[in-house]
Amino acid sequence: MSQILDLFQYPFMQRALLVGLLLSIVCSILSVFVVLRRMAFVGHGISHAAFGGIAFALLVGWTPAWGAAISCLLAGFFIAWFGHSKRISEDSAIGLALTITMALGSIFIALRQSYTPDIYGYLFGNILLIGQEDLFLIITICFLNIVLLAFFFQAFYSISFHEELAWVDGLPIHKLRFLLISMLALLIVVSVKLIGVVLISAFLLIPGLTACQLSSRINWIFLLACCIGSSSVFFGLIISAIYDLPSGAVIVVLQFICFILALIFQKISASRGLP
Amino acid sequence: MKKENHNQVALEVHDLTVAYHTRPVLWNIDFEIPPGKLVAIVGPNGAGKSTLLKSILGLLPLSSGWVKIFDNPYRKVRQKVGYVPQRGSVDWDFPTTAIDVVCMGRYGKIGWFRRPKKEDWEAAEKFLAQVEMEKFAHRQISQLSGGQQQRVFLARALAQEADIYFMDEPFAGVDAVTEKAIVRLLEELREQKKTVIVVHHDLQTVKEYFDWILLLNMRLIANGPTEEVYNEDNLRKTYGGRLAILSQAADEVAKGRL
Repeated sequence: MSQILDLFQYPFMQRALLVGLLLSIVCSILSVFVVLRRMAFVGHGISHAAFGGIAFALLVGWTPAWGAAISCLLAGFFIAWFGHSKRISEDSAIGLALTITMALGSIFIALRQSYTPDIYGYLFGNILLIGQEDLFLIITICFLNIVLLAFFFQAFYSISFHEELAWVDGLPIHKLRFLLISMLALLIVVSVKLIGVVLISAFLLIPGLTACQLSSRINWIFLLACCIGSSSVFFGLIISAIYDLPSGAVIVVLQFICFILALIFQKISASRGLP
Repeated sequence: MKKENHNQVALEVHDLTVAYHTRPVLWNIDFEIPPGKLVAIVGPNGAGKSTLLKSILGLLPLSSGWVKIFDNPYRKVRQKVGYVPQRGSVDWDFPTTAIDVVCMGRYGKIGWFRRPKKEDWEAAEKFLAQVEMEKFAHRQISQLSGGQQQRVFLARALAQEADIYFMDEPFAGVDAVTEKAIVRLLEELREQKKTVIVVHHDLQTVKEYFDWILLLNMRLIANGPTEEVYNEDNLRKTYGGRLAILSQAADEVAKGRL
């Protein structure tokens, strides 16, 4: 116990907890839309694009976050555009975006003369990577996302339910779709260090998915998703710090356990005939 | 305003061609519909009935031609247009309640970034009552029967307070109670001088329910008042030379009713 309390003395741990909880709440809210709009793999495609961008940034000596932001937004628009044009199906567009950015990323890493020790951290998350300068960026992006969510909540809810109906109601569905994907992309960029490229899509999926198993009331779903997201981050960070494990991986495992428990709970309540 | 509508054309479709990739689905469709009519769009499976509705509503790109609603392009009169989509296109497990669905129909009116106000909720309740669904207002849509779900969507369309409604097979797979409720609602809308355009599958009831018929099979076969248009010759043309009753039987089999 004292070991855990000692952990909170370290600035890196305080930083990680602060950004972790903040990110988990925003990611969890978005994850509900991701589940309702059935776009789990959109997040997957965008997050892998971050790898290509980070590798490029490391090669040319930029701040990795900028490389990630550019590649994530590009991948997001690529996927959204194909999803809209219907010439190529959305899953094919995701497959293309995901693999080409990973391929380019590996080439950039290979081209880099010096050894790249931090790349594993970018793939699976490493709280030690989060510096003071990230703090400002993460808080800004989270704040921006919360403002946009508050403003566009109903519009997102409506396009998630039925895009064609939302269109007839007068909602600008294409712009809203691009906006949602841009929000996801920016959130992914700032989550990379905490969760890692490979695992972010779980972060943007499991809280929402788990909450949807537990309730069919939309307000409850958002609340439950936030609880699941933030508690898994809190305990995940502590466990990862104590046992020196990759933070993202531990968090995702905890979220998966929540999901399994929710499934069991749902089965039990269904067999008892509870609503 | 309403009086003006009498002299106007509610819906004008000119030279409309729609293609999926390069395969045309609708060819050179050209027609006008006067306001205040209950219109059935009738044709066999794959005739392009839903495609016609969606292209009128700007949901599909047109290869050529144009559409005018009350003498304006669709974008300018969105507020006057209501829509009931095909049942199959709705995710019935979506976490939302009947009254939420109805209230969503008002987002266009209240501004989609504002919260619905008390009067919007009251209006939503009123429209639910109109389809006898007020008791189920706070029920999840997943827990409603097929007919009840359809009625919620009708209430949603009413909440749009439109002048012209497009409904894609509202009668498909509903119980007798709901069918009656829909018919009553259509008649009410006609009394209010609204124009309602319905994709309809059942040839037996079409004469009874609708006063204007548009027969479609990739091309426009006929368009006009029911008594003028609904005849064996036109139906044979629409259903490709097969006897109308046979293809109707085929449709029924496809729907699993026989």
